[in-house]
Amino acid sequence: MKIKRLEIGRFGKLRDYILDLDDGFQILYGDNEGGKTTIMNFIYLMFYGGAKPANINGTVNPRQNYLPWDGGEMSGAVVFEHRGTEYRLEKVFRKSKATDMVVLWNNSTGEKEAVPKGEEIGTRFFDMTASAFEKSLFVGNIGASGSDDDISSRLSNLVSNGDETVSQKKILDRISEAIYDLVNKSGRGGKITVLNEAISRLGEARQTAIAHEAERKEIEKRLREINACQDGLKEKSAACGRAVKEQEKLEQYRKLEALADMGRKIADMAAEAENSRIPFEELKEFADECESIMKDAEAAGKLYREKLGENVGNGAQGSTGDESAAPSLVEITEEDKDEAVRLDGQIRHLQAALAHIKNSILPEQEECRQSEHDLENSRILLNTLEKRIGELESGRAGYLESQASLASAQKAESDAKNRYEIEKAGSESYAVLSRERIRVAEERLNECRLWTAAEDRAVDSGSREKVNMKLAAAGAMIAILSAAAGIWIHPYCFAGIIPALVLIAVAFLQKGGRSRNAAGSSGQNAAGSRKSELSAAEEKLRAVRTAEMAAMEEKKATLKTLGEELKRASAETARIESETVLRKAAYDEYALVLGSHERESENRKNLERNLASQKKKLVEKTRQLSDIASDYQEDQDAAEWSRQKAEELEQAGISLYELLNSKNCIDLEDLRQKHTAWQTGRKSREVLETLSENHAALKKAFLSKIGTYRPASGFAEGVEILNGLRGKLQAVSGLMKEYEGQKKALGLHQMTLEELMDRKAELEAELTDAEGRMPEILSVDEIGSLQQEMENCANETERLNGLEKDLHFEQGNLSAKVKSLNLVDDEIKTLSEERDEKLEYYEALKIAGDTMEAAVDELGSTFGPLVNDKTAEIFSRLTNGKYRNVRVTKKFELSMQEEGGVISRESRFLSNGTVDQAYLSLRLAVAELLEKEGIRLPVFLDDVFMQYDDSRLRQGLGFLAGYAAGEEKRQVILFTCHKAMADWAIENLPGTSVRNI
Amino acid sequence: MQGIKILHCADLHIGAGLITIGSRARKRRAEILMAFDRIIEECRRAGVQALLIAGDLFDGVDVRDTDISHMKERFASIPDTIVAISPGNHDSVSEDSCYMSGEWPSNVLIFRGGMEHAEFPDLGLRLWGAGFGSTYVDVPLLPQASVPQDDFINICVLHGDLVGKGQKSNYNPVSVEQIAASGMDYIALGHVHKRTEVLKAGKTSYAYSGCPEGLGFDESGEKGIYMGTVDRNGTSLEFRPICARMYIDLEVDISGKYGTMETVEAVIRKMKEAYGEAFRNHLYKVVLTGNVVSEMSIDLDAIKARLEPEVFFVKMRNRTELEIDLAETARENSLKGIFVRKMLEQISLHQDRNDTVNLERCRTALNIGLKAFNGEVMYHED
Repeated sequence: MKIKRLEIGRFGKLRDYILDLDDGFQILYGDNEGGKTTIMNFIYLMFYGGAKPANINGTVNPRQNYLPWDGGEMSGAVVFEHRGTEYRLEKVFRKSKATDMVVLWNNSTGEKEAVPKGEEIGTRFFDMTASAFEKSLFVGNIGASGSDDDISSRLSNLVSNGDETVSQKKILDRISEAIYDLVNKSGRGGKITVLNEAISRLGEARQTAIAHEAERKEIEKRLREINACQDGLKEKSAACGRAVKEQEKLEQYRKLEALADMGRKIADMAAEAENSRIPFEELKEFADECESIMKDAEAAGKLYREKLGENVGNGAQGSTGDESAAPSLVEITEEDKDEAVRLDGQIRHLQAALAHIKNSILPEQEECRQSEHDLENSRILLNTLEKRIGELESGRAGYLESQASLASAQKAESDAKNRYEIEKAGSESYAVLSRERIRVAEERLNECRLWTAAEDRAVDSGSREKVNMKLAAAGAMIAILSAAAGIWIHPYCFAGIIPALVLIAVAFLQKGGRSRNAAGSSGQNAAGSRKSELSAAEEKLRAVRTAEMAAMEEKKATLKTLGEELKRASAETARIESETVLRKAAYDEYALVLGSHERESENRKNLERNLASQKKKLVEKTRQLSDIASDYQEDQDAAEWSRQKAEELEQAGISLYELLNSKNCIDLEDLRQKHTAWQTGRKSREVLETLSENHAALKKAFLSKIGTYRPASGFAEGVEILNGLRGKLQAVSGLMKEYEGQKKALGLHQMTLEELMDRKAELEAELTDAEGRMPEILSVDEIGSLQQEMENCANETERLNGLEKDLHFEQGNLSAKVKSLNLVDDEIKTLSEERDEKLEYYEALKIAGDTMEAAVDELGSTFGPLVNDKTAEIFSRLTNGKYRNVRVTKKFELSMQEEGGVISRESRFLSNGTVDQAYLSLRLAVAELLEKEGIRLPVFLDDVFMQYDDSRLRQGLGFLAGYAAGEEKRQVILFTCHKAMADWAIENLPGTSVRNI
Repeated sequence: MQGIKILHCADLHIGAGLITIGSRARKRRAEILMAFDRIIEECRRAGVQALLIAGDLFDGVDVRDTDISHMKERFASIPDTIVAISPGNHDSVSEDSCYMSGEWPSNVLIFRGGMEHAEFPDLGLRLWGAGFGSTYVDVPLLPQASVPQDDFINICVLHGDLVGKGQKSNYNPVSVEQIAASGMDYIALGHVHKRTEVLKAGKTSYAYSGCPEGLGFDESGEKGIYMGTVDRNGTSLEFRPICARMYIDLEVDISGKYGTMETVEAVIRKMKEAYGEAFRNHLYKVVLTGNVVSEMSIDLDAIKARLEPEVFFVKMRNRTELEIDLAETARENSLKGIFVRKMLEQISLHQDRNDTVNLERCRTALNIGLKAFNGEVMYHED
């Protein structure tokens, strides 16, 4: 291939520039910055428009770099010859290779060649890549490349891989660094390792999160159970509270009832005190009036008695000075007197009986009734408790049953565990025994095999007999020869007899053995028997193995079954344990109620004892009453009996009063005296009659007055009635005070009796159930039990609240301590994706590294020797045979060997000129190796002799001229800024073309 | 009977960590809450009768009190809309979850356990739903039997994983066969963040609405909700975008480009072409592709630094390949040539074996090896 002409329209600083190039070696000279590099890059981009020349910064678009200075479009043409045909390549550079306008003319035919879009013309013609083209085409000056180390490494690179810009080591190091960045050498660091560790930690965190979630669910379950218990306790406490409240209302009701009774009693007493003529409110005034009249009567009586005393002193009357001695004005017969005495006796008798009933029998009867009432309440409570005990019995039985089941389950679990362990141990020992049995069977088989082999050898021995005879004959011959030699040659030769004897002995021993075998086995029959034994032993071994395998399988199956049983037993134990805990509450309540029942039973017994004692006392008092009230019976209602007797008493009183009044007597004694007086004398009766009449009138007035309240049989009775009235009024007043006091204590002091009754009715309505029953009155102990129960509920609730708080705290801790499962899953997903992406890159890096190393090896075994040989050849020609070898050491260092020398010298110990020569040799060698068969590319050399001394320069120019004119002619173009070099070439190298650019 | 106007959304993940977008996460979290506000406004504006939230409303149990109270207040502001929530695997119902604490507005219906329903006779509507009780639910929550076929419109809200018949999943496996057998008129699904079209199994229509705001680059594109009418004769729903921003996977071919500035210009041009002037709002994963000349080194950090001020968030990936004639290079008698030849041999082998995994690895290895001639080949982390 030859470049014949360059026509640069616009390219960088060049414009309308034409450069014709000749065949062979030619020198283009010009000043620095004259456009040498521009010309080279123009050629490069004309053939490889998509590539970028190596001397242009990596981040700069080369098209930008060579934008024409005048702002026009980059354009140009190259005329070249390839395989005998001339072409003209025209190109207008646009933004990218794809948009470039390319025209290729075949000058031989004058026709355009088709150029598909994007095709690189260089690839079509030179069958090589842009970089290979660049390496082949352009050779620079290594001396300008930098330090010695840099030069050395570039040379090494050239030798080791054909590209001076990059070293194998660096390429491999870059890949290794990238690998170790992901997974370092020790395997304990690197990005992937870090990610794997993080994922592993997250895996653990995930397990923890799963465990914590389960734990949280368990806490929630426990919280639900606690809440259920709290609700139960709340309900129970509320029920107890209602019962206590009900009892309080009941107590209030009873107090209201007592207050109402008292009010009614006051009203009754008032009603009893008043009569139809005098209302209660006027009774006090009435009593005061009566008392006034009574005092007047007493004063008149006193005057009368004084007068009567005087009369008696005057002998007008009897010796007695009292009123009874006054002359009676009314006739009083004996019958009157007797009737009055009878009535008086009856009255006294009834009063005594009534007093006894009131003071002794009635209180006793009341106490008995109260005791019976208490006893009934006790019975109801006991019934309630027994009913509750009955209800709780199943809970208690359930708890006891659970406890029994738990013990049983624990035992079953323990048994299952024991069975499992025993079976496991048995299985292991059986495995040992099994192996032993197999081993014994194998030994037996081996034994049989050995015996069978021995039999076989015995059968074969007959055939070897002749051989042994020969052996004996040979031994005898050696012995004879040894003896002869010992006699005629040297005594040492006698030693030959020893091996001869050994041979004879061996021969005879084998013969003896064969004889024995022949005698013992009796031929082939014995061998047949052994073989059948061998078969039997093999059969037995197979059978033992099969049986042992089957037995082991069975053992494994049993062990598995027992293992599953153990798991089931453990699960059952856990289930029963939790069930037992749940049933404990019912059991505890049962114990509590049972305690209450026992206490109430004891209470009831006490009540029964009290009632019996009270009844006994009542019988005793009734018996005492029989003396004064024979008609009263033990089982009779004392109150009713008293009412009847009071009526009788009132009737007797009225009869006596009427009798005394008709006889003008105050009382029975008065009647007796007047009867006596009537009988004994009538003196001075007229004198005293006036006083007596006055006195009698006052008394009558008094009796009349008091009679409006209640009739009195005499003045004394009248006084008594008046006093009685006074007493009643005082009793009512006292009771009223107490009544008001109690009302005040209950905060009801402003309520009337009717209002009290209404309030009582309200309470009654509240307390009465649908069937009209009032709640039972509970004893203080019972109410205490209820309050205790409420307190227990409160304590238990407080305990459960604490537990609930702890669980909430624990729950909060669980949430705070660990990441949520979702978060962990998300993080694992994110990191795994990241890790997988890196892992893929890592795998690709490993493939790249392995492949690169394989490429290095292959290059070392192919390209390396070739480039060495080719370089050595060129280097020898370039140095006129001074150096014959160029080698690259294992450390990738370049060394050179002088012709006739045996020691290689490393490049760093050579002069710059020699190094330049080596570099040029290497570049040309590499270029040749990169070229395709039959294509000789031009070589553009950029001041490659800059560091050469004159002698070397001449050598170099001569070499290039020769290189261009070699067997396969090549276009060699040397750019230089040294005109002297061009001049020297013109003079000394005929055919060299020189052109000023 | 008239149809029911619904709005179907799911997977808001309020309070999500969003660790992959670094310092932008905070703002993004606020924007997710704003998406919730837009959903509420949409309900009010369109007179939606049932707002169906198919799970993962929250990203986890720990939700800020302020967010909860805000959401309750917003729910209460649409009293005529029934809000049905079926908690999912991220916001599963537990004693300490916000679904169990405090009062929720009376129009909010939270399904806290297995499948249950509420009837709204005035609307002729029966709403079904079930909630996750823990992170994993591997037993289907959708009942085997059909719901009653009467005059009511049956709508189900459910968080679950659509699987093939007999397949398992830890996230409430739901098969098309189960859906067909359910007898529902519409099943509003959540869990999968990418929406599906409104599909049909038997008489039942169903769809995943996807998430209203994307949460990562695996959830790229426009996000929103489904809105429309469900009646006995069919379901008519349309997708409404509601997201403030999009996660976008953007491939940019930088063939023929040189250096950072040309690459940045190419990327921004591509963004503008695709999303107009609103391109600045979005979150991008820019993947550089195409063929670059062997000597060109791509400085991802420099490119990213220049793109960051232009958009809300950007991360970079380099998947460019070297512009090189591999066949020609393989014929070179040089290290590069031998390396390329050996790599092409491996690629051919894996192609023949149809081993896609190793094929892809070898292609990457080839690219790495070629780049190693010019510069470092470390894994670029962004």
